[in-house]
Amino acid sequence: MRKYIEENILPKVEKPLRYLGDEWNVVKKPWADVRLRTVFAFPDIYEVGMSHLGLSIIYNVVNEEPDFLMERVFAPWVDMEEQLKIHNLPLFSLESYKPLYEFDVIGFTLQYEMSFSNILNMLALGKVPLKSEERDDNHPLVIAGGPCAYNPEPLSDFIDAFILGEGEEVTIEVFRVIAKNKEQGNFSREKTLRELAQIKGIYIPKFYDVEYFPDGKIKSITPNVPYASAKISKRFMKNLDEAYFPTKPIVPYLEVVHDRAMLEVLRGCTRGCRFCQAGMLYRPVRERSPEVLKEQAEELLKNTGHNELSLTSLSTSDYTCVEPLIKELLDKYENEGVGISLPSLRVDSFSMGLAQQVQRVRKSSLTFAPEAGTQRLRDVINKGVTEENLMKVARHAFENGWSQIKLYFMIGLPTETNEDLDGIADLAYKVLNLGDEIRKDNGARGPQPKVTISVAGFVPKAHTPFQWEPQVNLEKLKEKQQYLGSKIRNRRITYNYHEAKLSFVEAIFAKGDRRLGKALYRAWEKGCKFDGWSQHFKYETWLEAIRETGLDPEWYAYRTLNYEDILPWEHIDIGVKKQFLSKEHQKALEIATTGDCRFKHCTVCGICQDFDVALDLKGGK
Amino acid sequence: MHLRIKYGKTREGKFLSHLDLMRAWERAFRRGAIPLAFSQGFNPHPKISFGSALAVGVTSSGEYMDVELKKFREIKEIKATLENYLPLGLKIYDIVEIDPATPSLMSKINRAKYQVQGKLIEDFSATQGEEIAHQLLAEENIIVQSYSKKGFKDKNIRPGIFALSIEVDEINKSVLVEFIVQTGSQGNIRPEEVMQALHGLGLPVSIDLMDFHREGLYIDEAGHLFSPLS
Repeated sequence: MRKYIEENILPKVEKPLRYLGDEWNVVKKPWADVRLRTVFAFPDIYEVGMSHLGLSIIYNVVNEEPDFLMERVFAPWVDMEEQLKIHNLPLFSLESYKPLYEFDVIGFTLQYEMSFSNILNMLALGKVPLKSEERDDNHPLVIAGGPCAYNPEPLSDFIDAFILGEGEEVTIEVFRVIAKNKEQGNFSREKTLRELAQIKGIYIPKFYDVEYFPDGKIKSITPNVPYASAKISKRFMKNLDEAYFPTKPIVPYLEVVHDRAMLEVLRGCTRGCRFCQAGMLYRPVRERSPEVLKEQAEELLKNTGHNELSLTSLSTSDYTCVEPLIKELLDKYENEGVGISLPSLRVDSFSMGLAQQVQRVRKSSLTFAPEAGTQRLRDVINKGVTEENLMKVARHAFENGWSQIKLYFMIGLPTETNEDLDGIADLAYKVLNLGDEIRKDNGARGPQPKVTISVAGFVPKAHTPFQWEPQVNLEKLKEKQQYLGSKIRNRRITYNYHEAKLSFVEAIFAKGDRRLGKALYRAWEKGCKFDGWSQHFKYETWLEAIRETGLDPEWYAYRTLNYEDILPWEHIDIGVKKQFLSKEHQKALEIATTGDCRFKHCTVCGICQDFDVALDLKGGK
Repeated sequence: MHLRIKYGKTREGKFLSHLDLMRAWERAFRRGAIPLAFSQGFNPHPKISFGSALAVGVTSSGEYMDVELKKFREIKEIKATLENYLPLGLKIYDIVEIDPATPSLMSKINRAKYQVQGKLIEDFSATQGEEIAHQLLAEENIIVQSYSKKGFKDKNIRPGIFALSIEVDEINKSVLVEFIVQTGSQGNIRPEEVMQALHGLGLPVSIDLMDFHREGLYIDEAGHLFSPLS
């Protein structure tokens, strides 16, 4: 099969290296040598998937087990899909070129709602029946994890089992159960799923019944078998120093989105931004020790040959040991031309010292996210960042030789008015003017300062204080985009904004229930795929698909929920209590802020009270 | 220390673009802890320079690159290390130390030898093959459609063809075309342009299914071909 594809198909597709799978550090195991054959399925293209740390962790932790193998498959780009169809070939894994239907387990990662259609498309191309109920004992088990698994309902027709939370340990536990069942002969999906349901963190949608009120709201979500628990709690690693970390990741030939070695410095973020799902899902903050990180950095660079090391996390400048760590890493590696990059910085914790360290080797672009244009609205969303913070880091940046600054904002946030939009434009101008002043003081040398503002439409997400909020309607969101555009009249300020229609469909699924599965299926039938790619997003088709299944798209996106309502994700327990979220929501409307438990007192969100885990800061509180 | 490396791109590596190739080499040096020298400035780059870029989809057994190292290493050790750390698809043939004043590969290389192999899609004899080769070499001008960023335009490739032979294997119904063409700063003839011309003269092949191989890059001085290593 591989030879045939290489000779007849790869020369005809845009980027053949996406499908070749011979990269440095790839793991290829003989199929006969293992008890269980699994494939990690990433529902987007290779370049996106290979930039994802989660894939690297799960791929390597599974392949470290002598009994299991894990291969990779990505969504084939449209040209490849066309070739597969012309040649009547199934979608195959990169390592062994085996069709998806030959694997024991297919595991999808759910990073983004708008990749759901690709999941269906990949299963179909891999000749696996799409719906869980259509698959029999000879078909692969289809499992899924990742952030969107915390509201898994829209996918419950298609996925046999969801893994909630951090996957290092639980994935292995799941595979052991499946391997044992496979070996016993007469493999039974039913029996295997029953056993999986008893593992903490595993959600099997078919073991739950959902009832609705006549008005469409949920009446109840109840287990329909005795071995399924009423609430499914997420899994987490207590101690990051002891958690598995891959120091021999695959090195792509092709330039991928994040083409660098990744070092994970911490997990979680307790800044408490009220729109942010990741900030609620991954609590509490757990840091890795600088000693462990330095060892991992050494091995990563040696094993990959990368010339850049990225310190990743939800907010790396919040790492309590960030400055000494970066200094030591640079002292050690700068002579070898290795740069350090910090992908996610906060304006209130980015210091002069950091700025000076990071620019020692190679200058990456600087991006900050004030998220909202006025202090009032920043307090509503609990961003906890002030204009003064922003101007201070902008000053540091310009004085240290950066000429371009990127700012991220959101529009359509609860309580937003035109004044808040004016505030976004004002901030962009203030930063630009500051850059001009500093450049003038330095004798007007070097490139002229530039500011980019990227503006996303607010999408209310499950498990956040804003989960009860509606999305601003589409016309209003477009008006806001245009209004903001009219305020920006400077060719050195670039204004980017997201497709409002995409945010609308995203909102439907982000807060959707299991009835949407039919709509998703219908959309896929009508050709929806790669929805996150603007050239492929078919808005009208999506709306048609949803309406044809008797559902109302606006009801899902624009409805205000009550605290008493049963949410579609009511049975999923992330550790943060619903009462905490509703209290935070009320505080938002009162423009009251909540502190970060790393710097102030505990906010009693529930995670450390109800789960056996605690805040873990290596540099002290 | 300055090195000149002769390397090849095998079947597994033929889809690497020039940029992919540069990254792959830098990473292999880094993994092997061979101390590359870096350019000064804003974004330091390793001092690696290549001969002539090879098109995606073409294999090769005669590519060249010059590399500067910060410290001296035994050639044998460098070769053994790189062989350990190169990804699948790249292969080293030879490494020599060169004088830092050696003119760049880019400024010297002006010839490329290609071998293009594939199936005959109609009956075709060895004699017919020889005739087409003679016919092509006898022409003074051969105009082909050349594709560039600006679109298609006419290009006379005949002055850039220096040798050409066609070997037909009548039993296996396949053909091997071998030719030497101009490459580098003085002008560049692409192998598919030559095949396009032969196809026009009646060679029964489908060009996009043929295997293109660059046998080597050379320096022509007064009609003699020299290897960049000599």
